[in-house]
Amino acid sequence: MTEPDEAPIWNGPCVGGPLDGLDGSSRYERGFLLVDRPAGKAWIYDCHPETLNGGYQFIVRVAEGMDLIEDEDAVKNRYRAADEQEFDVIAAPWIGEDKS
Amino acid sequence: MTTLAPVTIKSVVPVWEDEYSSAVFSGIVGDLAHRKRGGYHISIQDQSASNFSVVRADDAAPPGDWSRKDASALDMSMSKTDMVTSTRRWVAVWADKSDPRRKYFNAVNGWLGSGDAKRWDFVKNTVQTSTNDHQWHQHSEWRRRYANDPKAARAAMSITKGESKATWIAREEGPPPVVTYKPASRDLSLRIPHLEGPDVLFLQQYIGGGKIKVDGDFGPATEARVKWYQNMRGLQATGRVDRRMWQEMGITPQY
Repeated sequence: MTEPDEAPIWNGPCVGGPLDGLDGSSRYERGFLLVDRPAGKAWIYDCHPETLNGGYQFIVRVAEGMDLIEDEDAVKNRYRAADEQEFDVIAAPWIGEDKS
Repeated sequence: MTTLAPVTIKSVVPVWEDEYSSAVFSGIVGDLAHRKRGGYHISIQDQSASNFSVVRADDAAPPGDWSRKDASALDMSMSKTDMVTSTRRWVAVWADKSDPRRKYFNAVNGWLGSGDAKRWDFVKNTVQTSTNDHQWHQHSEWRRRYANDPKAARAAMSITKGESKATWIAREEGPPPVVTYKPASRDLSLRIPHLEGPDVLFLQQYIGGGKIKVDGDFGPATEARVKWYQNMRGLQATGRVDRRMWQEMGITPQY
């Protein structure tokens, strides 16, 4: 009987945007959608093969990100991103952190 | 692949997002790669019959008669701060074997803010290391028997919001509250089903004069007697005991 096993995860450095220089991870090979709901912003990080080390890197499409409008259609789009399983949907890790 | 996302599980998402400002929906149905591994993000019919997620008593169908088409897990991504709060709440329920909410869930994978992510198994009552993607997304598994059970969804919402066991029990597990109506606390009239209560009993005793059964049940005989009383007292003979009639009977309405 198969027990819960390791899910494939794509790991690599992030390039550009709010995660620039940090390590990123995604459960889907196309990359991830980074969402900061309180700030109303989202960024798409596309996963690319990293030529030098043979791993991966996540490159932001638009450094400034997209405005996240929380109307019914925007919420449906965000839910669709999670349903379509091409991009991981990840909450901004800094939300709630003490910036002092 | 035909795995479906149960509406009941998805109904938890907006509640989760309301409770945690960082929370975003991260998936219910697994992708094709997930299908090969199986698990609660995949329906019974879309995976091997020997997979871990389809053999437990509350998961296996058959012999169970629940859906074979539905996924039975929810992924929510959160910031570290919210992940720690959320995981603590779920772990508190996992740790309390008397908590009735436990019965709906198989396991939860989350992170308490340091070390590795963990998996808390509600059936085996064990905790083990999990993959570190669960540091940023919490994975909660419904027992497949309850994937479409609204009460299971309410249990998930209750845990997510940090509701106490006592509050859940009082609202969801106790007997329905008994409502008693004192005289002049409402209008009385003939309805289907009949209105019943101590206020009806009082009315029948007050105006009955031995002519009707005094049983606390507002039936046609009681309505007829009300009309007789109203006629006698110069009121409009509606058969309905309203505020005016209660006052006529010398009782101040309390509504």
